[in-house]
Amino acid sequence: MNNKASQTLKDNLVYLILLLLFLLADGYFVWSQFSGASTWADYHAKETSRIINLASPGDNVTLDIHKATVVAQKNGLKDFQKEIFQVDNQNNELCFKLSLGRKTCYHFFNDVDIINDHIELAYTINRESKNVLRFNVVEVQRA
Amino acid sequence: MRKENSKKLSVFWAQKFRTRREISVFAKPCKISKRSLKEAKSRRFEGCEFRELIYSNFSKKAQAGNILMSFWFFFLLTIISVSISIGVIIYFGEEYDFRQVDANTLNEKILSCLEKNEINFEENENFFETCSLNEKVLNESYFIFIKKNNDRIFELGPGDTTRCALADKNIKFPRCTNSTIIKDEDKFFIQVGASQQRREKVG
Repeated sequence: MNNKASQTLKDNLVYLILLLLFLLADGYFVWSQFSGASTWADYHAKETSRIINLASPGDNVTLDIHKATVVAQKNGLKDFQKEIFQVDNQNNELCFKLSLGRKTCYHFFNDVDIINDHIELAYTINRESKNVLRFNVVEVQRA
Repeated sequence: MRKENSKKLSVFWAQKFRTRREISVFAKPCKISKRSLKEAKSRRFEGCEFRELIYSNFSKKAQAGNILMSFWFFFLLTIISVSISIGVIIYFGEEYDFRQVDANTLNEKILSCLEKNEINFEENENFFETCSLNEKVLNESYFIFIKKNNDRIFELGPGDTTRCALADKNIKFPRCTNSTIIKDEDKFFIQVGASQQRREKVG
């Protein structure tokens, strides 16, 4: 009886392994989408580009990016200052990176430069402690 | 002896591949010999002439049913996997459509610039410099069309007024905003379209 059961298990082992692999692959895919890194990076990149498009040289901008930092932390990003927000003044492009190895970029059409961009952790807004992105908008500095 | 070998071989293949049909799919023709039979047992067998094999000791009908079920297994796995992926991609992969907001912002910026400044539209650079707009970015994914008293005085970027008019019909067409301003008895019509999409980069 035991031999029969073990034979049945052996016969179906390959199917069980395939099923397990399939479940793992699908589970990983769904879980990676649930973390929302791509969606939040997209949202922050576009909203920040709007702020820059509407800004004038001399403006100092403070943006609440608390949700972005939470997602980035969940996804294993360690160096918030260098990784989450990146700006390329040469190409008028800004990027948000909220997961390892992937960033979402968007152009801003306002011909200005962004300097002193940095993330301030635990910044107080309306008596609440939030992580914020701060930068200065200046006139184009490149030649 | 030969008959015995054939029987052993057939049992081996029967255990390995279950049915005659599957054997013909997986194996290559070869001659049956004592050596090949030995190799077959040690799984180094290259294949053989199956027509001569004697199939006994197992039910072909039952095995065929088993194989049929394995096709169903793979088919169901594929269907389920594809359905889950499509569902998740539709739900989470949709881009945050920012084109209308972009078009409104640009239109507003140009309108305010026209209102405050004297712009020489014959020189493109004058327009971009005065309005603080980046020509490269606009040329890539924005469309600007300006008319002064029914005369086209400025046009830039991918897209055209027809695409703007048909924006509701096709999701890929740019989202557009129109505005009009009267300045020094001249009527300016401004149409702005935005078609910028996010860019995913490795980094």
